[in-house]
Amino acid sequence: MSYQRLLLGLAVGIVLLMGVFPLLKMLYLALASLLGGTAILPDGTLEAMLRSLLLALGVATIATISGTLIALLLAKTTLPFAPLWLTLFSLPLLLPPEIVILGWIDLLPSHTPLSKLLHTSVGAAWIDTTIFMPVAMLLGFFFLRRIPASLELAALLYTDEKGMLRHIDLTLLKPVLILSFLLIFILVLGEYSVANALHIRLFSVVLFTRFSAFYDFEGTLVMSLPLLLVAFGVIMLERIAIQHTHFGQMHQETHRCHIVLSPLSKRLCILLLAAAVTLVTLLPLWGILGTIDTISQLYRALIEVQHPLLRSLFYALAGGAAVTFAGLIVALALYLNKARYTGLLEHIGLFLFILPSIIIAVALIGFYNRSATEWIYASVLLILFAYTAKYLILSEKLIHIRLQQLPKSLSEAALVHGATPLQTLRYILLPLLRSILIAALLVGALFCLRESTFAMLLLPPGDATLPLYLATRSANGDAGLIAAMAFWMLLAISALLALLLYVGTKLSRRSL
Amino acid sequence: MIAFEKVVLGYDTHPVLEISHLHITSKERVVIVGSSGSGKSTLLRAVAGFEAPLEGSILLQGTCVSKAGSIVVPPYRRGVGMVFQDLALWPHMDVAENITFGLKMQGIPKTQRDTLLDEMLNTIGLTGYASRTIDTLSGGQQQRVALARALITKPNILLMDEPLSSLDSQRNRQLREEIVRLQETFGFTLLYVTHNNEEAQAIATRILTLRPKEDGSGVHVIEG
Amino acid sequence: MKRYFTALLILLMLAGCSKKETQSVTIYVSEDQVFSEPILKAFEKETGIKVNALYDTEESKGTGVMNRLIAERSHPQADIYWANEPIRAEVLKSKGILTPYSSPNAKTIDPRYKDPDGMWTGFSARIRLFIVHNGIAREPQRLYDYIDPHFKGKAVIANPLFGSTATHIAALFTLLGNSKAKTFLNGLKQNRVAISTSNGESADLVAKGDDDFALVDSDDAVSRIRSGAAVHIVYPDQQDDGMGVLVIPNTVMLIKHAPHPKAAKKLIDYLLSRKVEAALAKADCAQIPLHPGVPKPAALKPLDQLKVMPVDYAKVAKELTKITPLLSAWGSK
Repeated sequence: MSYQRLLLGLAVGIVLLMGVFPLLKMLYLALASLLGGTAILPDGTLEAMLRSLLLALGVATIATISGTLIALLLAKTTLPFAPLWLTLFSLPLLLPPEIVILGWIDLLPSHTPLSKLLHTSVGAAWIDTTIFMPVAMLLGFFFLRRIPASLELAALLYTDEKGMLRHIDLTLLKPVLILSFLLIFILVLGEYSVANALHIRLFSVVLFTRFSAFYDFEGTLVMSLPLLLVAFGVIMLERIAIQHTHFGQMHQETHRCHIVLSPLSKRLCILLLAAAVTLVTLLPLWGILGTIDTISQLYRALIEVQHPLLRSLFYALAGGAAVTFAGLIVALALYLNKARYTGLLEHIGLFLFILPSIIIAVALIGFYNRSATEWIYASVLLILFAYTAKYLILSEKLIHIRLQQLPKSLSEAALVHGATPLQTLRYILLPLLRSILIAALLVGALFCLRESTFAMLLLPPGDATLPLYLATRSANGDAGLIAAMAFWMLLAISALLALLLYVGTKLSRRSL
Repeated sequence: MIAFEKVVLGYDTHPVLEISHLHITSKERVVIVGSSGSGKSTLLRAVAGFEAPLEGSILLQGTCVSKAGSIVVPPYRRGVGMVFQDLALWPHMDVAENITFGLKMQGIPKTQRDTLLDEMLNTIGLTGYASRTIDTLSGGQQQRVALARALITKPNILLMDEPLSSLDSQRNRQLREEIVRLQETFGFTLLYVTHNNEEAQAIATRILTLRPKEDGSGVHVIEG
Repeated sequence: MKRYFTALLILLMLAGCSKKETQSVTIYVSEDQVFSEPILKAFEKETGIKVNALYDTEESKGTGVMNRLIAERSHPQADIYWANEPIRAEVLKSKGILTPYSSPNAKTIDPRYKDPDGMWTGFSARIRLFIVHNGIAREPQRLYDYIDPHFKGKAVIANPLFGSTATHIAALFTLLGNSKAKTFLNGLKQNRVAISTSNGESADLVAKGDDDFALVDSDDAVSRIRSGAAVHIVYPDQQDDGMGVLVIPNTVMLIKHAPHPKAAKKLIDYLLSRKVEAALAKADCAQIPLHPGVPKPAALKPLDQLKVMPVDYAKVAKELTKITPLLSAWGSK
């Protein structure tokens, strides 16, 4: 067997073992239970489902619009410090939701009208919007940056800049808008931590409670069917949306078209952005920092959280490495094999990404919780499987896009000068992928770090990570101490983020 | 040296080029000209072993290297050298690593590689450039590195796919003379693709032209 | 690149191996981590046995942990479960997940707080009592004061779907029978009793004076008193014909086919010792010792001076599963 086929086999194996088989087994059990008469929507859950749908719809709309507006401002005008703005706006997405919520709860004194509002659907919608807006912003930004300047300049011969934005950029952006909307919609639908912390009866909370409080495995499986269905629908819509993007024609160009703002409107835009960043990012951070009473509290918190913090970093990096390794295998397999259905792997990856963590966790538990696979179930492997299943698509996409940017002739030159395909991989492709692999590792680590549903359900006993430790420890804990613990978590994430930004700048400077 | 027997080249199932019979003998300098889309590059890629012919077979030094739908001998065992249109120099390696890559793959020890490298750098006039990175070289210098990389393993056949297309006419002229000189020194068989007739005249001992078939099918045939 | 991955692989293997220490015990814990962790750490220090603990999260009390025990029934990972009430112990018992162990340290604990088959043992209890705002016109004395028109719109109770309030309602069903208990539930609505998300929130509302009184756990009341709020404690239903207060002990149990039974029994003995009860009484959770003679929290009466509600925890557990749909319908109306 050629090594290309071997890679494909490996890639398929990863996707099957970490995602498809567990989900299929779950689906089978759920359908069997459904036929046995278990209700999909037991009493009162229809209402929760409707509330969830409404909330997801609202958040997706607002987040997509606001994210795109920010993306337009940053990508298409001469506003300075675009990477800084992007990072600041992205923080709520990168932080564990528990910390964002803690920030808001700490910020608003309890029993005030604002705090009461926070504990309603409006509050949940607000926090979800701040968390998921960056998805639309980042997608929009990177797409807008890849529109060749020539397309825009050609339009400027016939219309002004507003017309150019409208007829060229926004029109080209439409499929990306749809994609952002769909992604945010399904992510909000599956979001559990926010609604749970605010005590709002959304479908995801009902689902989680069903699984845990009522110890009802089958009921949970059956109830997750609608979510599976919605996720599947989103994937189908995404396929259609993506087919109409012109990603293929987009190139990274050094020359970009920027709208020059007048000094006044520039100042106005900066003010607006600063206000927005304060509202979505700085306020909750201030909530946490402001709750820490003394410096000695920080020290006490560090002593207490040192082990969970180190474990968090270990799991995040191990998760990031697993995700990157699997992403590399899948990306290479897709790159080197042109078989007809290989694209299906990416669709499955995206499907797993948008599937609520709770469903993946329940499916993995159901699949691996047996004597023969106890060495997986009772070890760190189980949570690594979950991380890999969920975040595979992120690293795979990063690596795949990079591979496609590399001219094919680079590998062909190696082949024709005597390198076997394996040597070509070792001496040409892997070294050229090095920085993107590091970036993928860090992105993976950041996402694993913020994920707490997996930590809650899949970690071996005695191995609590920091977000989980915070969640359990905050029961009856001292608010100042908890905030101080959150501070250390923030610091760890900032360190990872800084590293990522450093690698990112290095990557974008490289001309290839 | 290179033989095509009833070969049809193309993409997927679309034929682009038919070569009923073509023999290229040792030490010839064959230049292939033709309009874009006539299958010039496809022909080179078939010789290199990146693509299999739809029909017929290709022989290198009497061995069948590919036949209808399958590659019998993969590129890395054909012992040909190639200069790509975009040069395909590896950005993560310096000049020396780029040039000696083929030798390294053959398992030749480092000391020997270094000797051969010095000779080669001398030949192409880039002595002292060994540890330079690719992006610090001019277009002409990059061209020479690509040539050196292809020649250092002393291949019997050298394939060149419009290697000079990105150079201005003066540089172009200068380098084409050098190619002829190198071919005479090393004695390889040259298969050279261009759409520039002047360039073809200057290099070739034999010119092959790809022309559309009379039947209007869009398929090209070889004339020479 | 290869080197990095190899290094990582080795790292992972090491992490995997580090679990296999000679002396260890795995415990799943539903008591708040703030209170339970110091106890387990002290045990580690005293015996040198490593404790791997899995704690419940606050929001989904008794969720992950309980479910894991059920899901892992065929090849258990845990040796012990420390629950903060007896209902889950009964559920696990009924599912055949427990194995009996009668600790020598539990001899002096009242049999009503122990499973007759030895499957679980109670210790350090909370009681359900009223937290009352100081200086209100009339003190509530009975649970039925919730539906007394005098307190219309002046009382609060935590959502009866969850936690100890759910247990309390289930206990009422076993004690009063279906129709009387349902009448009480509907009475809560008619008397405009506020529903809070947790006992803690109820206690806060009373501390602020928003409501006159609330049925909460003893620790919620004690912590408000300790922080100087204008509240005091009333033990409901202490009259001759009263129902008595509901006592909810912590429970500890041994898992069937536990991987480390020896160490597990040592830890159970430790948890049931007088020392641990004394520590939990002194801590902020102010739990009432079940061993006679162990110092009780200052703010609370000892159990022997209280009229205690006569409940059969097994029946309460069964009742709870039965009435859950009813409660959830009641809550969503």
